[in-house]
Amino acid sequence: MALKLTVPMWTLVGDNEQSLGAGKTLTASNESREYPELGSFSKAIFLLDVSAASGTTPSLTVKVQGFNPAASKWHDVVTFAAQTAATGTVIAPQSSNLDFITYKAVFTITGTTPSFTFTLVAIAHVEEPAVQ
Amino acid sequence: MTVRLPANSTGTILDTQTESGKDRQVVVVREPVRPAPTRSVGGRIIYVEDFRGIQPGFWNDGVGVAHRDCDIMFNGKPTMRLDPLGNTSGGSNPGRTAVTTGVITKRRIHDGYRHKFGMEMWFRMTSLNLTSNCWLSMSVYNRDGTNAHHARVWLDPNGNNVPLLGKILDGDASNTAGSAVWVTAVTSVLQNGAGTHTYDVPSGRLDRVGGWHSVKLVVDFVTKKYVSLALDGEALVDLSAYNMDTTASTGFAGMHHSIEFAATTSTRRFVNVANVIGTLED
Repeated sequence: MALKLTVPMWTLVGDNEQSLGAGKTLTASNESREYPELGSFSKAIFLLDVSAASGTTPSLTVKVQGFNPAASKWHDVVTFAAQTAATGTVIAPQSSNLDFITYKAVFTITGTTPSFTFTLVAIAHVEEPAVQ
Repeated sequence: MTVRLPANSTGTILDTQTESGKDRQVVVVREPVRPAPTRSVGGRIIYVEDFRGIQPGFWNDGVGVAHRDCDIMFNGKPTMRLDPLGNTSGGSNPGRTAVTTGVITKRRIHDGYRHKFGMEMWFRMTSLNLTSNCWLSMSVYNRDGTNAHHARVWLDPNGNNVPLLGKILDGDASNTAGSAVWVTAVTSVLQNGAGTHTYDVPSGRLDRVGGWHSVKLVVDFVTKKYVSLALDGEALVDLSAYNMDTTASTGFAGMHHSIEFAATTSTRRFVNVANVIGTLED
């Protein structure tokens, strides 16, 4: 039986998840905190949803990256197509094996006075008993 | 049915024998063997968190992370890593209440100030940069809707490769001072707190074994006093002279068994804990 974990990935460095809102509004590029809790799982599907967008030619590109601790470098794991509006349509999910130990999300925003409200969630799972 | 116990040191054997019509004889020997690695005695175990489950049964209330760690194993099972993720806190000690700009990982158990409870764990000062500018602490506290009552122990390495100190938050002195007052209750004599045998991949330090300390704190919520503290192999310290620290709090009324780790600088550092055990002591 697969054990699954839902991980909201819009917590930024310094955010406390106790007071996390129902989505994140960003007006400039930023990054999430690190998510080592994903390292115990074997695979994940990443789901992005944009509920609001404004500004002139706004663009939001979301990437999930994995960490190489020996080189202190981040490697791209999945990249969503650039979003330019809140269309209400479902954005194509991205999935990946979770071969890294630690992950983070990178939010790149461009445009003139851009603003995006969005959620990014990972549903991770592992095909092994929850308790060995 | 006949029960025969192992002979004692003088070779005496206790036998029981069922008599007709009297088949409810009971022999009480002692508590069963405790199922978790522990240095302490006494107390009925009410939970064991050994992190073999993929998702830990502890929740982090701070801005850092607490997660299952399969890099650092203990007794054949994963441990829990506490990492502030470079987030920083102010102050010069763990304070009277946990610092939310660090890691606060906890289990909540409801008990309306009725009993004595114990909390124990094994811990390892894993990474570099743990001998200053950071604090590891363990707390048992409860709230009644008006006040919070904290018993806290600060596990202070006290410098590089010197004996570890177990300091408790002195409730009366802290109330008088209006700020946290810590009393050194026990010193892990001839045993270094932190500084060597680290696991820190970016700097090429790969000692996965390290050195593990153990600590157990017992508190009495009926009298709101400390009971005892045990650190490594040192003799149990009687703390009955110390009251818990009382602070005004209308936060969630419930008992918390908590481990906290915070830092004043953004230098990356982390500690690991294993086999966190909660006990009922009365």
